Amino acid sequence: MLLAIVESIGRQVILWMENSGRIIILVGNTLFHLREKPRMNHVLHQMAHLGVDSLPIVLLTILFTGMVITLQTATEFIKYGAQSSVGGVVAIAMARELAPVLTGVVVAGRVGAAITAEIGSMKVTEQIDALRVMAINPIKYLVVPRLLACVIMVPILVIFADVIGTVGGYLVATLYAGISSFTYIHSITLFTVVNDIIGGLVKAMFFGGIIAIIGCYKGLTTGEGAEGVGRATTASVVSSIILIFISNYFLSLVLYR
Amino acid sequence: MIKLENISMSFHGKHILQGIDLEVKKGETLVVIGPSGSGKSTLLRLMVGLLKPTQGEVWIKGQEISHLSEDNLNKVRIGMGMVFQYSALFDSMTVGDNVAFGLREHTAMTEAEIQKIVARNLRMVGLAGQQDVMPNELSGGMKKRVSLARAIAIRPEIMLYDEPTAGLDPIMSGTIDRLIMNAKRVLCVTSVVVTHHMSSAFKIADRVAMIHGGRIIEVGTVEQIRQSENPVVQQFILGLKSPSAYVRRRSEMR
Amino acid sequence: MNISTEAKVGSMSLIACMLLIYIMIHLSGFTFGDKGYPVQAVFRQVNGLKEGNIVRYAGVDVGRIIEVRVLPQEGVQVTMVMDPGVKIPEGSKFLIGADGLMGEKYINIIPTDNSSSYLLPNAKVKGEEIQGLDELIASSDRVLAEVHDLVKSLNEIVGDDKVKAAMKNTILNAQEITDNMNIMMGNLARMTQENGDINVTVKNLSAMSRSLREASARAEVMMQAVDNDGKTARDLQETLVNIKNTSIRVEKMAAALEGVVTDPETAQNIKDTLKNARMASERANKMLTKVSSIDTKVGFETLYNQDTGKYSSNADLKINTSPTDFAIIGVSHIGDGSKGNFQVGKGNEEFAGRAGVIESKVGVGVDTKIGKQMSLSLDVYDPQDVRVKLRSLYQVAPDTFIVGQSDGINKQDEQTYFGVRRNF
Repeated sequence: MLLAIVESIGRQVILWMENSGRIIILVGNTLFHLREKPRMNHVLHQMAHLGVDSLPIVLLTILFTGMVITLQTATEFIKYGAQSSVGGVVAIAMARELAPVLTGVVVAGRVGAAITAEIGSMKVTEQIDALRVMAINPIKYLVVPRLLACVIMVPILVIFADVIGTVGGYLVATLYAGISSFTYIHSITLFTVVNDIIGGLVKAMFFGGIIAIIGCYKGLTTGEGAEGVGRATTASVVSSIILIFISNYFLSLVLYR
Repeated sequence: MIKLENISMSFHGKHILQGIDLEVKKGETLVVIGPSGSGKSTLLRLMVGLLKPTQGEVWIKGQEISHLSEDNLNKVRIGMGMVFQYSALFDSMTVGDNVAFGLREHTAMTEAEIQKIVARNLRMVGLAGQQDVMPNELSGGMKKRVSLARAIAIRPEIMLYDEPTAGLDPIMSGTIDRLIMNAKRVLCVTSVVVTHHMSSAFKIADRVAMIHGGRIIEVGTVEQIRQSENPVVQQFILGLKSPSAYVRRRSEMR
Repeated sequence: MNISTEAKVGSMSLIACMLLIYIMIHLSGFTFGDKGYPVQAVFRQVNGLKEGNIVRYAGVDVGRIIEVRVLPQEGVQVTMVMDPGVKIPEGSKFLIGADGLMGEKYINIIPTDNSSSYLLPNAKVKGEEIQGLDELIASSDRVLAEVHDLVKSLNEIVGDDKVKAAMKNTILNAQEITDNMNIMMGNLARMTQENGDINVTVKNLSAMSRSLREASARAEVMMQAVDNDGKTARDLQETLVNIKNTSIRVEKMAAALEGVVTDPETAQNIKDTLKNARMASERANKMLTKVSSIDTKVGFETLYNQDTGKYSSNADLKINTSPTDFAIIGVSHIGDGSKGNFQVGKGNEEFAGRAGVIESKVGVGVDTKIGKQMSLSLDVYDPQDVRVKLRSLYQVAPDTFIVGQSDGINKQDEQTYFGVRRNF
């Protein structure tokens, strides 16, 4: 009984380490293939597919997040007479944490799932094998363009998110909380520095990389059949989101010392 | 052209193939027959480097491929084509793009030249003018033919067919068989066909290899296989209930 | 309309780039055209001031800090860019301030009234240091921690039986000393009357009384000044600054003192000679229980002589026999030619006069209180060779004081001490 428990724990640990190792190998392989000129039309296609098409949902999510954050901070801050800090606090929270993480989560749910589903179904219908037989490296053909697209597009999405989040905050601050528009905008310039934005974009690049790599990895290791694709897709989204949250902490630690 | 030496293959401690020695000569068509799960498809995948043998060596055109890196393997694969059991067409591309894929990736041909080859290959498999159809609009047999057109587009020296006629009606099977023979005659390819359709096996084969329980139990010409004394081979050819059934029938005939 | 992939990606990237550039410009305060002019200010320390912080002139934002650089010798050089058209009068004060709740630091320029010229581009100015009592207290706190250790060691010494016995003798001898002093005074009076061969003594005596008069007059003036509007606030400020410097020295001293107190020989010396301390109060209490309003206080101080680099320890016992009468018994320069002190006096906290034996010589003294925490003492003693001693005490904690003392201020061999005092 006890042995069985220990064994199952051991199996999980080995499986986990095996997966980590494979992901690292995949990352290594992908980076290795980056030295060659990527297929720009593929990258472009993926950028449009993964990036541009995600813009509306990202904007919607972050707009309301900015609004609710302002709603909560403004009322509290006004209590302590610190309404002149609201804009700055919202902008910093947006730029440093909320915009990159929430964009990452939304993109993981939408794009990560799409990547895994697409590659996973290619895998179960032997299309990956067909690629390999036709002397095409699947990493170069499938992973590299997706990785590049995500690493480029997620920061771009975050720029939009930064703006829309702050705008959402502005709307609530001026229309609901009664803070003057000058006070709000002035406090943004006063508290926020360029590094807040840059740090958020660096994070976004990492998150894009995580989403693409995990999405591709789960797709390439999909089990048999349609059920396997479904499982892989769920696992891809869950793993990406967890990794985004964990890496976000360490990135914050490094970027905003 | 293709040589397997003492190949063994196992997944998770389960032996799929054991001590396989097999050679395919240039221009020859070898048909590998055997019951489902006997390791036929695995054998085919080893030949194209999709799988690495647990033990033994795979020689393609005088080059040992089981230790090559993916990039070096790809150089060998450019001379090979494969038709998959479920076609494995790229379903995000049109039929035309599928056929043109290898040419676009590996040759410096102009788009016009490529389109000419695509049209000719599609005509050859009886799908002329179907360039802009998406694969999911096609029937199983049409997919197989597109797959064949795609495989031969880059004019490979070696063609591998994984169950090309599985799941097709007899007429379509016949068409596929003719296309395989056609490809051999026109392109002079060396072919390995995995099938369990005995009729098509005997029609297209120069030699037949019978695989059973992970071992090759009989290799020979069509005639030799037909005349085989091996009850297991005869059971498979004749579709009998058990090997002993053949032994009984033979003693009755005498 | 069918938009191509390229157009979609391109337009989105373009908009993102424009937004990013806009944000950057907005946040970094970058302006086109006239850039303003730089001014450098050197501070001893900048309290976390950093690039991008605001510069304010009379409360108005007039520029930004573009560089904070540590200089090898002088301190920290802060380069700021003033907005074009802003004129800063020469002689204005540059201070470092902090903004409200979230505490962004900024440079505050306080304008000066009397200046006809303005700072030129690339001008170099010296930043003002803000020094308050808080800084002083902060450094005193560190000293106190070390004093605490010192006191612990001292308690061990004071608890000794021999010390108690010796103290008893001293108290018993007190009466004798007063008697002797009476006789001495009588002799002096007689000698003056007889107009004998003691002109020197007489001259000294008169000098002594003159000094004392002067000293008390000065103290009186000082007290009046304090009572007055605040003319001498500057004097007080100076004293505070001096005391601050003292506290730094005391810190050094306290570190060195630890060595002194833990040194067995010195400890023994202190033990042997500090015959007063706690026992004294016990003994005195026993002796003087009859007098109801008796109150005794033992003090111990360790001073550092700046001129000779030596330490000196003093101990004393103050007995209040009534609210206005008191007696002081003490030893100074313990272990190094110990001198005795015995004085009787009259007066309150604000002003008190003493007479008796000072540093084993006959003398008189006055104590006066300036402000809440500060008190001054002036002692004149030794009729043969008149010496004047000025002492200042600054209270840093209920029972702890910083002591500044100058011995023989009327002499060539003036000795200055700084140290800590602790009352028990």
